[in-house]
Amino acid sequence: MTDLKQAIIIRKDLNFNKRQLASQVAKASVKFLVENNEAERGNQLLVSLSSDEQAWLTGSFSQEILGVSTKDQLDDIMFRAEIMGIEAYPVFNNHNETDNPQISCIALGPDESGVINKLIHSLKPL
Amino acid sequence: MKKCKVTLALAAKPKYFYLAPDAETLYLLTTKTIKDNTKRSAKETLKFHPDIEIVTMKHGDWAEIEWNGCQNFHDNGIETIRANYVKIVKVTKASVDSPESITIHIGWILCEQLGFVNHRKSGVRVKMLSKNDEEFNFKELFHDDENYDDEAQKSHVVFC
Repeated sequence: MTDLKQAIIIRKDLNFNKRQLASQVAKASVKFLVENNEAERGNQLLVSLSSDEQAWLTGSFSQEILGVSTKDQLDDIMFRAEIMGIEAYPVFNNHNETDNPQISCIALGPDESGVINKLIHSLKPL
Repeated sequence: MKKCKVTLALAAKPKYFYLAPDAETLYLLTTKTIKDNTKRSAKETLKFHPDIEIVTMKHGDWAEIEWNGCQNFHDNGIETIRANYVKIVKVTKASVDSPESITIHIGWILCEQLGFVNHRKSGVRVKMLSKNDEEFNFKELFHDDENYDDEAQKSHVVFC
């Protein structure tokens, strides 16, 4: 069976406290379901899962949480993911509605570990 | 030619498609981005290739895309890179500031960014179109003269 995982990469320069960090990771974790939702009614969630996503959800649910120091680094990973065809979902931090929302983290996958590792091999765990 | 319709899921964030004027530019962009020894950031890489057009799709926008061929590249340490030559007709949703608009784009795009099979990826939905489902006349929009070669051949035959 293929090794599957999801990687969540968080900006450390935003200095989140533990509560905020947990909240951002939780948002990022389900972002692939929310962004691919096909349902037109707000009270439904309709997502056609890929075989990897299905296996991950019902199986390992393995995650890796990593950190980057700047927004540029996060943008860079996002760009590389786009070019390499790896699913990437940005999460925006807009808890204070007066501020402009800014990217706080991204979720990569769920996908094969080998594919995700191409992007995160140089990053350090949070 | 294969055609597909690209839409975004309701909650999807804006998506960017990188269109290069030629396959070689796309190859350079990709290898410089993917190779482990690269020190150049994404912004710098794009600055290095100012001729790459970024087609942005926001919620409500949709596009009809025609496949016009492909080219494969091989390089040490990376898997085969496949570049598709595409023609894009993008419909931008009307907003308070502007009415609905249609723009056309042409260039090379990575197969990883846009594959010509029914699928969904990162909030982008790709649906292959049959002749009956097509909404735009690409020949007219892109001023294609598909008969050119045939005509040339005909005249050649007549000449012979």
